[in-house]
Amino acid sequence: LNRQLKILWTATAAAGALGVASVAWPAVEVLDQPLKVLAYAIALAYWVKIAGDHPKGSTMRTAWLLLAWSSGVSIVRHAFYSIIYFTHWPLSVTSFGQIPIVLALILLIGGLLAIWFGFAAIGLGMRFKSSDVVWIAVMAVLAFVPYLFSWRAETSYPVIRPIISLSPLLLAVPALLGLLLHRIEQEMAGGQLATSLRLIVSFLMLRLIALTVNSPALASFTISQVIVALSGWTSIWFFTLAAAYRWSLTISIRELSSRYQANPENELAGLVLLAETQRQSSLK
Amino acid sequence: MHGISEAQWIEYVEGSLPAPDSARLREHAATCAECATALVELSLWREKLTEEADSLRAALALPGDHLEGLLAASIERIRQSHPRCTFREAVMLLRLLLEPFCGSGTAGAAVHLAVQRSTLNGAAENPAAWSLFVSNMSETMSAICGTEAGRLVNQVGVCLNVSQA
Repeated sequence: LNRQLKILWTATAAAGALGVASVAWPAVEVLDQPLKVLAYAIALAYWVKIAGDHPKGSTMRTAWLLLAWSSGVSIVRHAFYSIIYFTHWPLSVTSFGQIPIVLALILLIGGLLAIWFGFAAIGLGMRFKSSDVVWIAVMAVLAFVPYLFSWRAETSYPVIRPIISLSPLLLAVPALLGLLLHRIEQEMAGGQLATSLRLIVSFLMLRLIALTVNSPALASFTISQVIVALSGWTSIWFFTLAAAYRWSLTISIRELSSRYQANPENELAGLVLLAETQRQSSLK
Repeated sequence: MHGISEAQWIEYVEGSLPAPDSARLREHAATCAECATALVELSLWREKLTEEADSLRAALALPGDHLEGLLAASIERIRQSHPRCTFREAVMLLRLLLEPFCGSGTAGAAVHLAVQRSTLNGAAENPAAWSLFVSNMSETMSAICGTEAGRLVNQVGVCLNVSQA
């Protein structure tokens, strides 16, 4: 799996480079949607496998399944935009892309809430710091700016208008939940699972940054365009990486389990030795 | 050896060698002491292997409670081969096992929860409650990190030889 993680990190870097290049050479944008479809497809495969490793009816299984569904709907969304890009459909049809956007965000929010419930059951993610209020205020502002501008967005379909306005708010909710995930990840104090949660938080924050900087007030600046392109092209790969790291946890546990099955005496001796070393170092 | 291959000797012992070859090998073994010894050893090994296979077949045919009894005896044998540890030490070992995967905070929270749920006769950290603790810990880890993690906790937990402090 290490090789897969390396490939995914390379893909993230490549997506970032292509995003920045697209600011100077708009022709590069041809790769934007297909790359997002690819990233979500990989993430979907991982989330499904991860959910399969959890007991039926468990909160975490629900969480991973909701993330899988969110990835699936996002694939539909980006495939839809790809079709519009490569065919000669009227541009007004683009508005319908808002439907899978909202659906994917609702599923994502459900998934993140389920993760929080899962950890809250063992007492993690229940303590907050006073500085969290500042973060919540910052995120509210970040979401409110695009919300205001969303009302200026043009669409030929009045039904779609409320959905367009809903998207920035729905993007802010996962970012707020990202704060909860960040607290959980801090309380976890290390481990492979924390790395996965950290990557989900990065994905959520990058998306909110891309949305905010992309608002008409800032979009005319070149630096804004670079930030939007960089965060927009790479954020999804962080989601894929989160899934890959979470799956690597299962693989690592499976490997250790088979080592214990093959030679429990040796493994237990190693564990006792590790405990003794830690005890000695804590006494010093 | 003496123009007879190892495979031919094995086929001879198993009775699958053609009759003329079989007669040739029998005649040779009657005159060659070295080959006769090898043939005896080979026959003994075959006998032992057949006995082992029979006992395995018999074990598989045992009813569920007998199988559980065999499993419990095996686990006990593994436990006895490890040094004894107190409830607290065993918990620390399990925690140490899980830390690289879910972090010390998660492992600590899961241990805390499992200990709370595993009080036996009103007493926590009771060696008699170890199995209950392992089961609760396994359940918690399954819920958070997946069934593979729960299985690992069970696998290691049953091997730890927990006794009174």
